[in-house]
Amino acid sequence: MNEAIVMSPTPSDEDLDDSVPFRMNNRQSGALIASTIIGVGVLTLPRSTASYAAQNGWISALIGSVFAMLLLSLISTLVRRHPGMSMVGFTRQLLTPGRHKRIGLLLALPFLLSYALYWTSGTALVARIFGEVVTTTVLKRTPLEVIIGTMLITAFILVMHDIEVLVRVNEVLLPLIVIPLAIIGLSSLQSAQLVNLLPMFQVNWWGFLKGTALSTTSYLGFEMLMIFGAIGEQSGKPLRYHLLGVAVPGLVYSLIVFSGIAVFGVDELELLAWPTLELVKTTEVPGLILERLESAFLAVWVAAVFTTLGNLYYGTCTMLKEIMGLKHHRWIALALLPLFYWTSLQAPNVQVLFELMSRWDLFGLFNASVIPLFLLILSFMRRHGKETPHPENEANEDRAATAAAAALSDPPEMPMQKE
Amino acid sequence: MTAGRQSILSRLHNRHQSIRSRVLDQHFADQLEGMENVTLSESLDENTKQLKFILGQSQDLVYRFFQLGPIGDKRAMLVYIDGLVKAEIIDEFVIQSGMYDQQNVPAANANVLSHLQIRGIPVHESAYIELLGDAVHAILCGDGALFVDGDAHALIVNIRGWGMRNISEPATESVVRGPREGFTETLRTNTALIRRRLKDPMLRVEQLQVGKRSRTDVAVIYIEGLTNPKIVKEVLKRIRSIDIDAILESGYIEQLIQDNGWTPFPLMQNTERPDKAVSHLLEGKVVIISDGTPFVLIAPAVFTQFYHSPEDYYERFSIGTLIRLIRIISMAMALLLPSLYIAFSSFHPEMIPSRLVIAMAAGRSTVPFPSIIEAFLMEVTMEILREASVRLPGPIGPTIGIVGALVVGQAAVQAGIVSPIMVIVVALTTIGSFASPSYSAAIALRMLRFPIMIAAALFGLYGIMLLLIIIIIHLCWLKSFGVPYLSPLTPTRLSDLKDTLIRTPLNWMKRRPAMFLPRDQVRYNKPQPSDGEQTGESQDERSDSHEPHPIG
Repeated sequence: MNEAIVMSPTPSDEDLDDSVPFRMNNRQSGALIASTIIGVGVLTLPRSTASYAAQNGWISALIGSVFAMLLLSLISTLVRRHPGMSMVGFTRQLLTPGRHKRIGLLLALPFLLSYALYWTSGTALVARIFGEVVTTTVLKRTPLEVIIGTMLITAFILVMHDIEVLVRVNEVLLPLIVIPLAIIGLSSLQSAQLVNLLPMFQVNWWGFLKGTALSTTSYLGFEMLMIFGAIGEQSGKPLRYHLLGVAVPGLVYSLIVFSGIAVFGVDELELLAWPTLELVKTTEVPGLILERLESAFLAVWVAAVFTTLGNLYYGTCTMLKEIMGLKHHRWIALALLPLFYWTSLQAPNVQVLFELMSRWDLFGLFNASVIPLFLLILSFMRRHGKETPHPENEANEDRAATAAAAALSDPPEMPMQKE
Repeated sequence: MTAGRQSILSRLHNRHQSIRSRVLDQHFADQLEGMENVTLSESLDENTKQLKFILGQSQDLVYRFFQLGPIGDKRAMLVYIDGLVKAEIIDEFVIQSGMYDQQNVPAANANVLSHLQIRGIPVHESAYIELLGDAVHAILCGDGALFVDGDAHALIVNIRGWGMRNISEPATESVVRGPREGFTETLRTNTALIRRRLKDPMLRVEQLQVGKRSRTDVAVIYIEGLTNPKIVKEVLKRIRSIDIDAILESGYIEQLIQDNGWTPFPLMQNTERPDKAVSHLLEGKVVIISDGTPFVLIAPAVFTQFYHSPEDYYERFSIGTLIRLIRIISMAMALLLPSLYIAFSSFHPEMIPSRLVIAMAAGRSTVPFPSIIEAFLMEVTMEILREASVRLPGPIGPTIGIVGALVVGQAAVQAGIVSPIMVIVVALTTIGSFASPSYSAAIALRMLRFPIMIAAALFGLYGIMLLLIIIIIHLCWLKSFGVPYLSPLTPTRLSDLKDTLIRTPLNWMKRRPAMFLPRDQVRYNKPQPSDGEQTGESQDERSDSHEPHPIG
């Protein structure tokens, strides 16, 4: 119980004050990462990993999450080295030669736009895949456009709110996403056949590596920290919570892949378009209160997709806002809405969509690995970029540093109680 | 504007100096404001004239003249409003004392009234004032104002006493176990009910007057050193900024100081139960009592407290937890059941067990409408029945309920307008919404039920989920006096979750909920082992736990 008290984020009087800028606590940043990761990928993951790594797919999903954690720790380090700054801020700062602010921005633009493009296309793709799944499985007579439109509008409603609301929505929806997924994974084991998982550890190494790389891409979403890390808490143990944000989806995904392989076997799995949905169909509710759970599962999955979509949308808007130096992102969000809608309808069929999706994943992997690594090396070399005193950025940094210092020196409001 | 007001003020002053000017065209507000600063006159006739000028010719206003004491030549006047005062007190302690019992009255021109206050009038509460405005206000509040010729002051004596309701059991929040007392319409009784339960020297009752015309007394109650001063300050600030003519019920205050008026969810809790108010005071909240209503306000409020009932804490924790879970289920039913019926029957029939779906189809075979119309029809009928049974006089109410539910329901099924399952759904929905301990929260769910039904008719479960997500976004956005509405669910505080969905044993909840940022956090301490029981080992432990608890 003491642990529970200690683990709870320390509330402070500042929470009551609207004039104090919102800071996301460590648990919230972990939740944000986890709920961004869990999204459309969960429906196809068993098939894609099994096609490369065969019966060891679930191991590659597990190792993939470890890779994702490594990449995330790069980003986490980078973000913590530049407290109070988002990707836009520190990329500019790191790339500014001497006092030439403009050149810094110009040099940073390719990196930033690469991310913006990735997130924009991601939003559209997620919306489209979501629409495809809903129209092919549950609402067969509803047009695809309507599903995509309603989903995007709901995400738009979220994006119109402050960042505080986004963080809280993620935090509150995460258990509603994770628990049903875990239940599905566990309860479908009732029709599992252990034979399907054998032989274990007999691997085609090349395929296994490919499968692992592929499953690493299914954990994409953690790179949102590049933009949302700016409002993250500096004290405590941020890295631990960030990694936990990948570990939770990692376990859930591995469990789903495990049960997928155990229930269907590799050969059958490769033929299923939405293997997780098929997995849901095999589960039976005790007492037969409900037959055929896939509609109910899809209803829960709406929340999972929504958090992914909403966060990508929000991240894109925030990034563009910071690049343009605007005060609020509302107009950007409004302008992006038709763009997302139009882009999402570009793929002619599901086959092309899957193709695009895998290319998008590779693009994302590049964004989430090479760019942070490059920036981190730069950051180490330039030592926070302190050699180039940048009036605006320095002021920013000072403020952030004092905030962090204040947060550290602030005596905890809830000291451990002696039993 | 200010110049104009100043000239009016100076004119009023002039009037006071017995140079009567024609100021009858004054605006009411100016008149009141000007009155505040006018001092009383030494002449009794002049004071009477001024009072009659302000208070007019009302029949319930009593000017009682009499001769003061054995010294004889002092004329005195008691002014009060008939019906707001206790006649016996006036007879015995004001007029009798004034007329006969005066001893040692000082020389003619000394302060007769201040002497009367100390020695002459044996009334428990009195004040010696010099402003006309104070006198008028006191009279309107039910006090008596005593004027004596030759003294430019008035003595306000508390002779209040009007017909009021006795303390009775609250009608809206009944419990099986717990005190039967409820708040009444009188502010003083209500503050006393709280004081009786909380003999804390740090309990503070801060009284304000709100409403330009109604001058309603509003008491803001909190515990100093426990309640976060920022919250108290904010509450006081918001109440002070209210500029309205009258406060007729605490709902006026609620609507004027809440953070957001457009949300269906209540951002402050109201209660009739003193024990509930006290328990919230102890969680670090502020209680606002308005004169004239038994409903007191509790601020700030969070979403989870609306399905809590005082009973949860009076019964053992396992029972409390179970009842709480049942309440959550029933509130979810009240919100979602009709829309789930619509979604299942028109979009996902495959989810319903096959035998049941055949029975449902047979029941629906005569119904000419789609399920959304059927559900709307029944839900609206049910809302009408409910509203009608509230308005009907006591004994008829339940009868109408039975007639409505049984007769109309059964007849509707037989006539083939609705299916039998629909009747079950509507009945469960209505019963579910009655299980909520808070009327204002239940009404929010009742309201939201209809848009969710439409969403279900359009997109099935997907539509329900989308609307629920929008509601969650809305809830995450809401704040009540700076406290996030969904705390402690988000921002998550594990220590506060001990009293949210479940109710853990009292001795587990060692600290007050952190979300209200109380200054004093410790709520429960483990009992110390008594001297007889202790062994050498526990001696050490004891010396450990004797360290003062770090507070705040």
